[in-house]
This record gives sequence, structure tokens and C-alpha cells, in this order.
Amino acid sequence: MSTAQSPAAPRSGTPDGRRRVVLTGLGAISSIGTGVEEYTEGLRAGRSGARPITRFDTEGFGQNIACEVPDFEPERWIHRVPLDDMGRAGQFAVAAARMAVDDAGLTEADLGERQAVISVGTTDGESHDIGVLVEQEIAAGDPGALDPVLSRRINAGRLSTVIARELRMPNVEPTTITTACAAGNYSIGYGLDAIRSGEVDIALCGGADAVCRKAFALFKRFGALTPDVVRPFDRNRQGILTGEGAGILVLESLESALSRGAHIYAEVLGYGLSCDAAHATAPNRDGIARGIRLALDDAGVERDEIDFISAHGTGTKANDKTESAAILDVYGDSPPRTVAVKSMLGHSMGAASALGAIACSLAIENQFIPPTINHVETDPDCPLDVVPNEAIDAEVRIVENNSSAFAGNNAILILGTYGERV
Amino acid sequence: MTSSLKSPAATPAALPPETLVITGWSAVSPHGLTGRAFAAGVRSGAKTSVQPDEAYGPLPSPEVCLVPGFDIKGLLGPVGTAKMDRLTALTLVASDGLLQDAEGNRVVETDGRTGVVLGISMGSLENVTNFLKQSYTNALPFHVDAGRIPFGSLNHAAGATAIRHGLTGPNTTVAGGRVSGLLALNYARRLMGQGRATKYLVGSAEEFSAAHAWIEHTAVLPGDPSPLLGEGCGLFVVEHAGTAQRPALAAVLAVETRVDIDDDPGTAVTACVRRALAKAGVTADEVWAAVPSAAPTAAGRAEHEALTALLPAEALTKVPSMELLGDTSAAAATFQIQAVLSVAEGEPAAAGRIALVTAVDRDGAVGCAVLRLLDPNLAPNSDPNGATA
Repeated sequence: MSTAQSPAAPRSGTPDGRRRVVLTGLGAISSIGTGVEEYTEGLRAGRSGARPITRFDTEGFGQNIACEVPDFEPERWIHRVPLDDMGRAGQFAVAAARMAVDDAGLTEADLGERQAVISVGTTDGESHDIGVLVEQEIAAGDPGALDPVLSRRINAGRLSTVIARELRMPNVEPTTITTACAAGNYSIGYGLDAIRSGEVDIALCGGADAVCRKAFALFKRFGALTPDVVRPFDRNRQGILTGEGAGILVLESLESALSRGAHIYAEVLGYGLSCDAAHATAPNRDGIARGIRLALDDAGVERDEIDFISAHGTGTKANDKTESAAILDVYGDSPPRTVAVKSMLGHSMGAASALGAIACSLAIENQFIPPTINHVETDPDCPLDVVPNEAIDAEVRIVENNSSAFAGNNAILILGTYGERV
Repeated sequence: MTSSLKSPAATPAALPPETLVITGWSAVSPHGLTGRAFAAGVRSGAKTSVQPDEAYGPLPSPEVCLVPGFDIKGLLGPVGTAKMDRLTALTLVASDGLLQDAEGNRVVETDGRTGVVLGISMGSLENVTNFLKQSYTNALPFHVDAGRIPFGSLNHAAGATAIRHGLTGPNTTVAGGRVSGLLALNYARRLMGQGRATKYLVGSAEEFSAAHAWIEHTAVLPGDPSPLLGEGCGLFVVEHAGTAQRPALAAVLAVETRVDIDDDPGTAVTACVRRALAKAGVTADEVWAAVPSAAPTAAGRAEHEALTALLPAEALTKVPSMELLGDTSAAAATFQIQAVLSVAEGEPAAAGRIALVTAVDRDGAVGCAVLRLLDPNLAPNSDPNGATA
């Protein structure tokens, strides 16, 4: 294993004295596999999560494909909090958190009163429940005919607090981040800052979202929904598929991880946030490029050290062209390989960059680069090696994970092999 | 002036340079469109509830605490406002009040690393429920109003604030209901502490709508009344004491949060307050003013009881109850801090004293902030008139 690792660097902080932060547990629920093992297999095999929608009635949409999580069994992971205290997104978040702490080898006794951050990112939260409430109102012709169980659980803050309740962790800062499709990276970055500050040693961070009518209708209306499959960076790409799932990562101070002999997947080297301050929905080349540069600076990483980029790579005309241009702006004519896991997962919204970060961690752990599937012909506007269709074995030490959101928000994360950084 | 009688801590210069300080604030609230209106309303203990316009349609409660005279086009102009959600509009008007004087001149400097972080509950429920109603009832389920779509993104208000004022630093939206204002403040503190931003616009916002009212009405737990709802947006400018460009009104000594995992909010509030006081390095006896969220729930009553047991009795009477604004949900914690600042502004004895606010939320989050009130007149380049936009 790559992370059975070269001996720990003697320092516990970076040259500027910052505390180092590592990933010691991963929880993934996705349309291509649940749990580290299945998810890794899915990424390696280039599996597609696309399947007919079961969550809501798609009559009249003219299409019915999304990347739903099949056969999700919340009761496997959620033992304490009643399942109807949360919607589908909350169930994904809690299940992934339970998976992540189990994977990290942390027991409830280890967590308990420990001060921690729990930060779940989301785009739509429990918008599926809001859709059900609207249906109830329409059916009854009465705005008060709403199921109280749903009314109580729609606020996005619950995505983080319900994890604390399930894992019996009272002494936490429950910061749900709703910066849309970049929220997963935002949350991981926040955990990094909280641990770097010295105020906590542990953070459970990531993102969760559930397939819902709102997102499906929205992207259909925008003409951004592909009729068949997602083809990021392909000349003939036609848009996204909506997706769902959750990715929760255990971030831990290096001291804490070493002291308990935890397995270390990767080190969180840094991140960058930039705001375009330009347009409500369009991606912005300069904003993305600035975010990448901020992340590289924060990580103390040179451009030529990046082994691959896990792109935002939604498969829309606008995103992929703009993101490619931003990558070339930063990296010049020979950019790193750039892959889009959304070709497999669809766009899982707030979970997307968290699942992307887990994919990057697993790529470092297992020394491979996941593919961009459904790829036929690279768009000349996206002159990148997208690792078409087949995963490749490769030496992977440092990886960049991109995300962007409506409202002009970009969040870029840099992960690296622990112990090998010069 | 009576500065010779005041604690040295009343001057910003006595603070460690990395201390987060509040150097300005604005409020769009049921008391009015400005911080001045808010401060005057809080100090007078004015009631704000009104009978809502019939345009809202049927509502579960006969009264609501609305921002008076909130005409979006009149306040923000015709461009880009035709389909704007109320939450974004409240936030933008508050941001204008924060950064500009009454004539629209920019009075707060910003740079490429000025950040924005806004606390919310679930964004504009009016926008998302209308969108879904269109999807369910129009001829085809995707025949929805595209012009309203951008406003339905939960991060839109924060992003729109950045666009309006050209703020390219970290831009974040956090969700935590009544605690979201404290989560946002802590988020800003953390990111500034890590050098990601030079200063922050930080606050929280909630809009009133029929959709919000009916969801809150049906969410009420057995035994609790249907809430009198409020709305609004409160924003602060926060900076580090060592680099602050404007007089500091208060220092943020601690922001602590917790989750009530045992359906025992009183115990959670007690633990959270104790930790916050310890982190701030002050004792309960030193608290001059304390402002609970006054949530109209069992948790809100437990919060009040916990503070009564912990703090000097007079601290809980310094600031009129937040009930006067209605349950302003996500806007609440920011308004609570602003209510303390409003009262302190009129009381010379407040400078140097400790203020504490707490919040409890339906989803289990609990929060507490501890502030030291400062005398802005003691700071260099004092501009008390500019401090409260």
C-alpha cells in the first residue's frame, strides 16, 4: 500500500508551522458503489450509475434517467436516530458518516465528548421532501395539509446535526454548507482550517444530496440535461445527468492519526476559494483559474507536481469549455491528465466534490487514475488527456479536485500522498 | 468622556491583534430598513407585528413581523429585480446599508480578499415551492420560469452580494436556522485566522413567505404555539483588531456551538455557555447583557431557564426580548448581537463589558457567542456616525 508509507516526516507541521491534516476514514454512497471497496471497484471499472428514476414521477419530462443510488439500506448504518427524522439526503449523510468513522477505526468512545467539526455540504438538501409537501398542498387544495414529519426535517442544517445525534457527538460545530455544487470541497476545506487552527483534532466533512424533481426540472429547463449519457470534454457532450449520494471524510490532525496508529489515505495539502462576483449561473474562466492558484499556493505545491486533476467536469458545453480554458491558463500547454468522475456518477450536486475527493484519495491509495467514460472524441476546446474510458495504473502522489457552483463560487482541493511530500 | 473609568480592554488597542472585531453593522428588520431604525426600535421596545397584506393569501397566523416598506424594485432599482426572491433582496439592501452611506457612497473599503458568509435556514422557500408548483401544474413539468431559477440556489444571496459589490474573496453560505448567524461568525473567524480573507461581511437572513409560514406552522411540536414569524437580514463587517480600518464596536471573544443529542436543550445550552465563557476567559458574573434567541418553543424556554440559572439576573433584562421581532429564524442570532450593540450604543457604562448571546434551533444546533463591548470613540479615526449604517 502506498500509504503504509514512507516513515512520517519528522515535522508535525508544514514549514510555516501549520498543523498537518490527513484523511483517515472514507464513507462513500454512490450510484456506482457503496463503501470504499465497491466505490473503488466502480471507479476502476468505469462503471456508469445511470438508471431509470424511481424517486419521483417523470411523466411529461420526455426522459427519465438519473444516477440514483440503487438498493440503499439506511438501517444498515443508522441505528439510533429514527429514520423518518431525516429525508433521503440526511440518510445518505448519516450512513456515509457512520461508514467513514468505522473505516477510520474510531469508536463512539473515541468520539464522545471530543470537540469536532461536522460539516456537510449540499445543493438541494431535502428538496425532495419539499416537493412532496407541495404535492400534498396541491392534492388537498389546502396550504396547511402538510405532513409535519416532513415540515420538521427540511432545513439543511439538519444534515450535520443528525450525524452528531447518530454518532453521539454533542461537542461539535455542525456547519452545513449550502454553497451548491462546490459545497463538498468547501466543507472539506473548512475542516482543514478548523484542524489547522489547533481548535479541533477531528472533522467529519463532505457532502450529500438526493435526486429530486427540483434539480431534474431545473436542468431540463436550462437545456442542460443530456438525453442519454454524460460525456465530459467530448465534442458531442449534451449535458449532465442528475445524481445523488454522499461522501464523508474523516479529517484528522497528523498527531492524532499517528498517536492511534490510524491508516492514512492521504494528506489534505490545501484548498482555495474564489468568487467570480460576475454572473449568477455562468462559469467564469478567471475565477476558476484564481481558485486553482490559491489552492496550489495554500498547499505549497508546484504546478508540475500535480499528477491528475479531478475536474468539475459536468458535461455541459459551458462548464467543460470554461474549466478547460482555466486549467490551461494555470498549467500552460501541458496540463495534467484531467478526468471527470461525473461521467460515471452523474452530477451528485453537493456530494459531487466530496465523492470526487474520495475518488482522489482512493487513486492515491491504489495508484490509479479513474477514467472519463462515454468518451468518443475530445472537444478541440478541451485539449486535455481525459483518460478516456479505461482507468490507468499510474504513480499518483498529488491530486487536484475541482468544483464550481452557481453564484460564482469555486472551491479547489489539493490532496497528496502522506509522507512523500518534499 | 469617562474613559478614565473604563477598563483598558474597552480600547481596541488593548486587544491581541488577531482578535476578531465588529467594525460596522446593518440591519433590515421589522424595525425598518436601516441599522439606525433597528437600534431605535430595540431601545424603545417597539412592537413590530402587523396584519399581513391579503396578497399573501391564507396564512396560519393573523400577524407577522414584516420588514416595513420593503419594495424590492424601489430599493434596488429595476435591473435584475423583476424575479428576485425576497431573501436575496433583504440581503442586498442590508449589504448596501453596511458598505455605503445614505447617499450611496462606499464607506467601507474592500479588497480582492474580502469575504462574504451568510447564514440561512433553507433559502427562499417561496422561490422553491413556486418552482415546484409550476412543475406540478403546468402543461409540462419542466415548463417553469427560467428567470427565477438562479434565485432558487441556496447560495444565491451570498453570491449576489459579491456581484453587487465586487467581492471576490471566499464566498460561503451556511445553514443552521437560528444558530446560522453564529456559525457564520465562526466561519469568518476561522477563515480570517487562516489568512484566507482580510475582512468579512458576515451575517444571516430569513424571508417571510406564505410557504415559510405554513411549513413552520405544521412543523410545530405538540405543546408549542404556532409561531409569530419575523424576517430580515443582519450583516456585520468583521476585521482583525490589529488591522481594523474602522472603529471597533465589539470584540468577538468566543463562538461555541454544540448539538443537543439528548432532547435536553437546557443542558446543551448550559454546557455551551460554560465553554464559551471559559474560552473567552471571563466568568458568568462578568456578563453585563445576555440575549437568548427567545424561540417560541420548549427549547427556547429551556434556553432562557439555563441562562437564568447561570448569569446575573440583571444581564437578562438589559436588552428587550427578541420576541418583539417575531421568530426571525436564520436572522435571529445576528439580530441578537445587533440588539446588544444597539443598547450599548446608548449606554456609556457598557464599554468594556461582556455581552453574551445564545441560540437554539429545531435541528438540534446550539450556539453561544461572547463579546466584549468596546467604545468606538476611543479608537483612532473615530466615526461613530458611520459605524451604524
